[in-house]
Amino acid sequence: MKQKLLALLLMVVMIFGLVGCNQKPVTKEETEETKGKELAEIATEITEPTEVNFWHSMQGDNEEALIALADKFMTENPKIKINLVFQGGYRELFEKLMASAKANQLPTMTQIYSNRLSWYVSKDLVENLNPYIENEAIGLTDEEIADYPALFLDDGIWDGKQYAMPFNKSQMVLYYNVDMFKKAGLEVPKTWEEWKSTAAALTKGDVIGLVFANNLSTDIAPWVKQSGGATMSEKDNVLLFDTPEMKEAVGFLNSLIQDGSARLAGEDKNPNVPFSQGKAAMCVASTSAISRIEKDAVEGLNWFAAPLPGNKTNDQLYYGTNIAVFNTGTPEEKLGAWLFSKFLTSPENTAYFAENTGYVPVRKSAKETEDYKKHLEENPVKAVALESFDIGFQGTRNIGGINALDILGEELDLVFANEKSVDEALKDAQERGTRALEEAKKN
Amino acid sequence: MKKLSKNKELKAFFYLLPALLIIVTFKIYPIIKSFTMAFYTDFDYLSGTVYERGLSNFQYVLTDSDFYLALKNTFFFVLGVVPLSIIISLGFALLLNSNIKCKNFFRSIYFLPFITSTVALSTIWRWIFNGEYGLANYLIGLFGIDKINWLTNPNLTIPILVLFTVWKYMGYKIIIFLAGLQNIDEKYYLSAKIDGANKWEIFKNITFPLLSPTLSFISITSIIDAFKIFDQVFVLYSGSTGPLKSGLTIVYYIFNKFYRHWQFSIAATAAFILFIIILIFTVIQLKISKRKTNY
Repeated sequence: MKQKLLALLLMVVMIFGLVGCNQKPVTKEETEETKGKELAEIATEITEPTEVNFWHSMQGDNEEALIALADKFMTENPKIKINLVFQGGYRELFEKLMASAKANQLPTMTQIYSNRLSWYVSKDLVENLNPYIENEAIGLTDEEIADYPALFLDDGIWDGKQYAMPFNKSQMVLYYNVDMFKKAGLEVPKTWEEWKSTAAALTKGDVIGLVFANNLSTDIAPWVKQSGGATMSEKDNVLLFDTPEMKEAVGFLNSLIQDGSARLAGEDKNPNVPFSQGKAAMCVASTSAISRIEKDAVEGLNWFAAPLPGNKTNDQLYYGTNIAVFNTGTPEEKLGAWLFSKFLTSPENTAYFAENTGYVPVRKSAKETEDYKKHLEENPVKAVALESFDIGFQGTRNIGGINALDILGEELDLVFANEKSVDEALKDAQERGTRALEEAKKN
Repeated sequence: MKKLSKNKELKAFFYLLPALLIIVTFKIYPIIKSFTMAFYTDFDYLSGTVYERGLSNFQYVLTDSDFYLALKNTFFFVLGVVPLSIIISLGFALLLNSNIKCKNFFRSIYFLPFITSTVALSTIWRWIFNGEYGLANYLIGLFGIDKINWLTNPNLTIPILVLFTVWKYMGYKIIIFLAGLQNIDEKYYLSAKIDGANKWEIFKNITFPLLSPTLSFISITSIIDAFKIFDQVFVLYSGSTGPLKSGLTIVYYIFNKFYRHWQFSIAATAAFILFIIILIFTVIQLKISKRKTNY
């Protein structure tokens, strides 16, 4: 009995000892005030050996290209050591980042989507890159800044501050089987109507006209935008799921699926899988799938890619992650991370990365470099994604936006499975999504 | 004398201290922390400061249609797995306990799935049930049955999970049952035979009652395990909750809320509710087994 009591007592003491540390009554205003404190001056020179930890999700060819670039950087900057840490797929990377943020052990820099980074920006954990960019010795000139496609830089800007630099960008495109089109005497569709009739015409026997990705939550964006709408407004933090534009977009996709000329990837996981097996005439996927299709394509598969067909407008979706530097490192580490970010996005290096992966170079002048020019001549399909920068846009970044879009994706699945009408599903998605968005504000 | 025992107690306490420290920091503290977290309604996840506490998380979870879907799926799963796995493994244990050839061989065969990692097994099952190239469809094809979309049909999700789980944990349960069976004294069987009892009567009146402590142990642990199902779904459906969320279980709900949606306090609340559910079931079972068990 006494032992039990003693053990219990000890436990209670320990628990309160642990909990007690952070139980001071605090009001929100107080913490907000301390947040406003100006950050220390940036370092502009590296004198001591510095290590930079870079967490990423690049596998296979992508990882090899990244390693080669890091090696090149380290030879040029012998005082900086870049530790590339592969953290699994994107989801795992973001899970680990979240846990490391709590444990106060964030890496120096990471690969991250802007819709994830917005939370870290709101928590004041991300380094503002403007002082580095504007610095004469280590920064970028105005011409260099203008050389980045505006949509990529904008994706990393919050309140006028550059928090992230573009890294691996790709475009959502329409892959098509050239031979099937030739045989049927069809042109590559440019509008939704043409697309619909083409998909129906090419659906024969084993072959389906068109395959979409499984989760159309974030991927619904281009069709909504082409109908004149958006999935949500970032400024007012309001969802726009239950709108005529969204209905038009979902209605269009659903009509394709219901008449049997299109399907979701399903068990194939990715739409490019049935496409490279010659079981689909068209598929919608990222340009980052190019190297996958090249590898997996059945012999003699003659394929190419085109921008997505348009509706009221021709807007094209670009996606992919950026690289961000956390403000938790030492000034030297942060400087090293900035220098590496700048290095990765220089015209030659981004061209090298694009050459060896399916991604797009993030500098307009990259296509003027000799190597990349030659590469484009040999791989004309890679030029497709370079042509829509002016009509390109990137996804929304609202905190909690992913949660709301997940709900939209679930409701869309019900529509495609014929369990719910479009109107009903979008109404429910709006309601449940708004709740999720509200909930996300709480932490 | 008194002094001595006190000394002894102290000594024992210090021997226990290292283990206690580990248990308290890695088990007890997180449990208590997540319980308190269920009541945070406005807080800073990173600094740990809480601005407001309340019950609104419970209101959120208990009005969330997804949570009820998760409850429904989990209950169906438990209802399928627990009785089925007990019956099947008890059956095999009885067979293995009788005098059949290659007893040890069969015992290891049944134990193999248990010691293989769930992730590896789920990956294999994903291929077996692949709609296009899977073994399952090949086999039913031999009987002229059309291909079935095992993994994309929402109605088949729970049955497949039940089948998988029963098969995976069968070996472990068989071993426990075998131990229970071998504890039953041979004399009872001999005297029953003398009295002319048939096999069924022997099972009903001797084996079953004397096996009841093992049975209640198995059923309690099976129920607890079944309520916590997660990894099978995660791997079998490649990180998703299955077609039309048909594989969304309570733990999956918690996982999604925590890791994917960063709704930390909601996840804590759901975990709290799961704890209560399991507690209720365990208490009920303990009550029943206390009344019915022959030790």
